Amino acid sequence: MSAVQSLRDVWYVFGRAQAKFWGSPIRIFFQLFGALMFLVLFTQLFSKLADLPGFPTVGYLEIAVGGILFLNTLNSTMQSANAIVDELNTGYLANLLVTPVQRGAILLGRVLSDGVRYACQTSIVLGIAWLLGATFATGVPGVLLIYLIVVGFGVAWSGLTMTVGLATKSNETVSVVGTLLTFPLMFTSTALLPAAFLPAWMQAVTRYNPISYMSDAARTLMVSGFDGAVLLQAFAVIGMILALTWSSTLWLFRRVVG
Amino acid sequence: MSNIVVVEDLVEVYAGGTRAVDGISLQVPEGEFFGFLGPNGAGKSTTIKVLSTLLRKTSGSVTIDGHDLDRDPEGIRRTIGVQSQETVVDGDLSGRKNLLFQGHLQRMQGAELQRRVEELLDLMELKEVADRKAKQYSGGMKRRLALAAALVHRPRLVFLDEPTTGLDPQSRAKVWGYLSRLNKEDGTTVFLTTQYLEEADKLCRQLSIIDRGKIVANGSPADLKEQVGGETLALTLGPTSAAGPWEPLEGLLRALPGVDKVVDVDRGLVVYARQASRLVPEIVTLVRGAGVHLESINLAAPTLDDVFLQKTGSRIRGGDLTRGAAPAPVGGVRGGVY
Ligand SMILES: Nc1ncnc2c1ncn2[C@@H]1O[C@H](COP(=O)(O)OP(=O)(O)OP(=O)(O)O)[C@@H](O)[C@H]1O
Ligand SMILES: [Mg+2]
Repeated sequence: MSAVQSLRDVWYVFGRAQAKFWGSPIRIFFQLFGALMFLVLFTQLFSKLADLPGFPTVGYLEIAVGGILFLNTLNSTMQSANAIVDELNTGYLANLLVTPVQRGAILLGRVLSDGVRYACQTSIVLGIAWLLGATFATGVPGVLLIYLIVVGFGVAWSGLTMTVGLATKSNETVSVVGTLLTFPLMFTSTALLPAAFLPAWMQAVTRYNPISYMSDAARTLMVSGFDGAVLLQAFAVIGMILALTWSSTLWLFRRVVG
Repeated sequence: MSNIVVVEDLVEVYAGGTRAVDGISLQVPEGEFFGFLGPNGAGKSTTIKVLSTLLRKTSGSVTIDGHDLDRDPEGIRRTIGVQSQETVVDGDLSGRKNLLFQGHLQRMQGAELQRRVEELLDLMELKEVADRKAKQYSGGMKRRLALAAALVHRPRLVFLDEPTTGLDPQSRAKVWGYLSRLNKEDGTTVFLTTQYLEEADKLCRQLSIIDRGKIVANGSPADLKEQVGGETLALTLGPTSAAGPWEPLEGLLRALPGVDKVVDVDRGLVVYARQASRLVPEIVTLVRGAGVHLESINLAAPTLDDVFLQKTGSRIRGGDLTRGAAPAPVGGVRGGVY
């Protein structure tokens, strides 16, 4: 099998997933709407916080952006798993598997398309935040880094939802597990409030919560500047999650394609 | 002619322990129109899934176009096209895009692919709806789209698992015409399962009948009908005076010269005999003598339906292969209306 052919396979699987994504304007509308809703709700809910002593000098909007980016991504990784579970259960995957297409391309093409989806969501959130008056301390390079972190985290985390999906072949289970994880992950992290505003025990918990590392990285890029240590930690966490979740996903996928 | 499909002692046991395929052997010569028949649950789809590299076999050997299933599944995938029994199309994409995507996965590109897709859309009469999302298609339209997808790359061998189920008689006849041309003109080997015996009779040159995972008969439709016996006499009988079954009568009929078999069916008996027409007078006498009311007698040349009934104990009702109360060859349990 030539490398060119493998790339073509990835490209076609990616292209189909993209065609499905862009072919459904309703979904895109709801993503826009969801991002707007969260941004407005959270900034309104916590608007008085920024007046408290000790709060970073920026408004709450910049604080909230970091958290909402990852709230969206967590939700979005459920859709990635749902898509593959559907294909498994409807027999669509079986139809792919009787063609000469590379097995790995079926997964890789889909992951790349999911990456594009996470990036689109990032654009929506950042775009709305910008319209609402948010400022970006690190300019274009910083924004690009934010994209990289969000997409990297999304791909890594989708390994978890896909593991659940491939193991149970049930979208209900994916949703239950996904939703059950989303809220504790968000609220026991520094995603919505800086650590200093959390009770002591929670501050301890946030240190073990990957969302804290993600939102801290995005937030420093938004409000202060490039912080090597924070960025390095974020990418290390992404790498760890990626290795863990994708080894189980790949193992399960291999079993499915038998 | 070399055999494009060679199966030896294939066994497939599902995880739950169901022995869906129980040691079958098959040879399909290149260019053949092969029909694989059997009642629901006989193991037809399971066999196709194994042959098309989807399901790992339990034991036995499979070679397709010289590619061994264990060593070179890749080679098999390059040879075949598959239409699964479940209609699978991508509802979010248009019919045309479904076919283009399928063609890409089958390593086709550019103008050649475009031409082929348009040709298939024409053939399957999907031209007008080609740009509508496939989820808006009717069941029959989806079915035809799935068939087109299986054929897009002009495979040398196609597995079609009940390709005409759910099509109206008109579309079915069209698909028959198309499959027949595909086989005759392009030399494509067709491996087809069907619920319609009429379809098998019309299209297939070779048939295998599978029942409970085992092959129970092989041959051309004519051979199989021949095996059933020259003719059949279907006797529609009224209720016996005593509520008892027709057993004594069955025994008497079976003893007549030339009778191969007597099978108990819903509303009467079917007699298989070499020269059944000559037996009519005697049969009438016997039925009268047994005190059974004879409503009608029907003389018929055997159909594949009779082959089915005899080989699998299943009847075809309304085009559907269902396992009725099995009319056992000896004696008989009546699956009855009485
Ligand atoms: N995934 C599965 N797991 C366990 N058993 C299965 C599975 N699929 C099929 N079976 C069983 O294997 C047997 C053969 O099924 P198969 O689908 O091959 O029959 P078939 O001949 O195609 O029937 P039909 O005419 O209804 O399509 C049946 O007893 C069925 O219940
Ligand atoms: Mg079947």
